[in-house]
Amino acid sequence: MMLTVRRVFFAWDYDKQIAWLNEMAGKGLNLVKVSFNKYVFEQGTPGEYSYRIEWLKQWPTRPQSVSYIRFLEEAGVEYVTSFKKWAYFRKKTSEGAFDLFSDLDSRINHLQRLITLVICLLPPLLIVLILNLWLWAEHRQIGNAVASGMLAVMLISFTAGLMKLSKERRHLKNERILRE
Amino acid sequence: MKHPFLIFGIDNYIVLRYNCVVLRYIGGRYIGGKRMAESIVLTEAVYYILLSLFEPLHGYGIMQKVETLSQGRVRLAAGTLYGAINTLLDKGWIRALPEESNSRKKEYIILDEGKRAVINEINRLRELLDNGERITGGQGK
Repeated sequence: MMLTVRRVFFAWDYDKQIAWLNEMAGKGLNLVKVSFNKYVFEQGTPGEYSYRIEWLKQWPTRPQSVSYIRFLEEAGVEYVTSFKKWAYFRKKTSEGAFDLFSDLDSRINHLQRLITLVICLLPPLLIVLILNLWLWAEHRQIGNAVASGMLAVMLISFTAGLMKLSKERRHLKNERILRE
Repeated sequence: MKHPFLIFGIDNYIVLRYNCVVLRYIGGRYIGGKRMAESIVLTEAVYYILLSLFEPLHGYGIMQKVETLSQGRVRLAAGTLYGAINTLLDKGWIRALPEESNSRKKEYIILDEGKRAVINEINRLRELLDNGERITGGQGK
């Protein structure tokens, strides 16, 4: 039995996404497929699986990612699905604790990749916002005002997300000074 | 004065210490400083991975061996292990054994360079241990 949930998670809420997927798995709903705004779950045994997500360094079809996924599978981690460079993994809870990263360096690197992702999304937003503001100033059309408003909101939320990721990375880097 | 170890952020597995000046070892190059005496500080994970590979072992085997050796204290995650193995392969401290057939998992084995690194690390740890026990009066046990 399948269940489709419409939900969107931003890159900076990846920890919330992980928490949500594990919450669903705890109820017996195991993720099988993902797209931009749809999560497809399959009914199974509650608490059977534990899920983790990673933003890969390269697209899942590239050789580096293929060898990484294969390595994980040899280590007992099941590759569920992927969306863009997001890879979804799971492991049976009976097989023990599941984490993709056990040291600070790996976590810092992963956060850095997410930060780079969000930073890349900002300039186009900013350009389109400025364009809309300019058009609105020129032609006074309500459409441009609405678009500007929406884009400004998006820009603010993206920046807030970026700050959240940066804060976590800074925290981990400070930890790194003391320990691994 | 701040311990020199804290001056630079450490974002690589291996930190080189030249006469108390800590440098970053990135992409096979040393950044800054004159080369006087060389000593490398391994992370715990890397040290145990190298020890595990004195016998040929595959990825999951390394994770289990390290957990056994450290009596459950050091748990290697698969993603972290993958990065460490690739770094060790790049440095020429370990090598991958040719796969015998498609069904066998890829195995790795330590090389002489890696063994040297382990010996150096053991000597370094002995120095830390000796100083610690001497100064604390043997409270380490």
